Amino acid sequence: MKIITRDQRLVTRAYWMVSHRWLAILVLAAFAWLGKNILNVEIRENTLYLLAIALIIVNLLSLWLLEFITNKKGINLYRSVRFVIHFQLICDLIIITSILHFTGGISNPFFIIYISHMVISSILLTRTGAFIQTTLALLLFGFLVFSEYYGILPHYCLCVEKVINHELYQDPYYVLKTYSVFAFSSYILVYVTTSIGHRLRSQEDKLTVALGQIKYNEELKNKYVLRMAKDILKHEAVIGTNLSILTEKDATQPKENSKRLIESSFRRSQLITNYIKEILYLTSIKLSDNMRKQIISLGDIIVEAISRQYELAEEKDISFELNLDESVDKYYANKTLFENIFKHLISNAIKFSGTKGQITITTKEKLRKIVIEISDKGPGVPKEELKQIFDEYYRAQDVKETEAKGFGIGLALVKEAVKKHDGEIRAVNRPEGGITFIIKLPKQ
Amino acid sequence: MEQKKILLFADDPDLLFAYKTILTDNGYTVSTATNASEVETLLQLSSYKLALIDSIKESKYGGCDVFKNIKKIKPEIPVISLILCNIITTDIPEDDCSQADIFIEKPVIAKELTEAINYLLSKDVE
Repeated sequence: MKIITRDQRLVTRAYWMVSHRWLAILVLAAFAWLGKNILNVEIRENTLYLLAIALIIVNLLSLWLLEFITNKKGINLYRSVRFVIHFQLICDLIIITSILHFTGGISNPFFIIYISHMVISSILLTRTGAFIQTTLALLLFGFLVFSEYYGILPHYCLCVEKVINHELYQDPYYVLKTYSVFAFSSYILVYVTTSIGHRLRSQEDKLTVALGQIKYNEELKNKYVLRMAKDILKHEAVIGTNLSILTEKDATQPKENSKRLIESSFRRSQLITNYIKEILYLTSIKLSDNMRKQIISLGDIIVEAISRQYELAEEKDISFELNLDESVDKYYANKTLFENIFKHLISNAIKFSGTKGQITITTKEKLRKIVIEISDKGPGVPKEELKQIFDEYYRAQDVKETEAKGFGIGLALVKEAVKKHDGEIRAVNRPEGGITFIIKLPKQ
Repeated sequence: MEQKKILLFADDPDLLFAYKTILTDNGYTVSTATNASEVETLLQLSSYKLALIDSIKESKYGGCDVFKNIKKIKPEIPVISLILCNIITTDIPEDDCSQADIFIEKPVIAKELTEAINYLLSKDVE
């Protein structure tokens, strides 16, 4: 899937203008030659050839500018390319006005060609840019027709009798009417095309962002699967190797090593089971639409979660401080999910607390929200990782081990469970050291 | 008969113990190391007939560094590398640590490992 950015799109369009200008130059040269040699029109073909050369110079200059900009590092590509487009359009308008001047002025219906540039500027530029270009076109055209009308500039006719009325440029009614209708229609046209162009551009931008996000997520998912498979296989390697040794040993005469081999296999098998359970659990939370809810006591669930892990906490001589607000104790929620929220947060707090650490759990009401805070006095988390620790895919980029040191996908699970109750969770480092997880739930 | 000495590296203590069990059960003398500097010290203190390196293709476990050290200090020692899976995606450059004499995928089957060791050691005798 190739993603084309907004800048690349503009560069492509700028080159598109250059390539179409070559065609316009050919048409202009052919028109001059045919007019003179085949149609026998009294045309100033040498002047038209000169204007074609001017267009060639403009085009070569535009090409050079585009090459220069796209190869130059450290410049704002989008703004620079827009500058080149403005440059091309201004040169085009001056040359179109000159061509018109030498081919009959307002008497020549060719003046409609201005419209093509107004449409192009509406597509490529901002609304203001398109209106500036349109106004410039109308000023140039106005300068031409009124200068010819007042005799400031000479009038050159195309001199094809009965096809074009050459006296039209001196007809004040015709000049004024044609010019005003053209100007009015031009602004309407530019307004409509810029509106459509803007809408298309913003959709295109959104699509580009979405495609980029899809690609990024796809990559993360692949890394995640790779990591997951490696994590499982790593434990399986121990179990498999141990079993291979044990099957070769004489079962009737177990050696002293056998006990340790069996123990490590059992421990590793438990790690695999827990890991797979977490993945299953996380996925099933995400997929479940209907959760069974009941009135639960936050205090009871917190105390229960602590008592389940009390042995681990005791080993490290960790103490708990509970500041539970009775008025927010009852909550209508899914019991299993809440049990898991506290199980993971308390387990993390114990894991990252040093010996004789303290874990503080607070429940309170603040700004019509139920706020639950769980703080430890561990090392905290680097600031740049704080937002990412809840991301299940984040582990794909993490080099930490699954076994004990890293957060695992426990926090992703907690985040999903909180989200299922329309709540939010964030983590902040405490100034005095350690981390606080803050859960905010809607007050019922 | 002189016992053949094998240098064993693994950063995972469970795996280190399992490999050591296989080797000692088969009559080899084993020196174990869990990081690159330990390996360097062991190489300077004693001579080994063979080296067994775990996770050579994962930079974070240090297996690749150990392999490079062995090849620098005692390039004649044959190396058996135990790898998780012969996958393409690895953070180790292709040429860096892909020159071990034998690669064995984990989980290691005790019999396969001893056969591989015997094969390399018999080559050494020749």
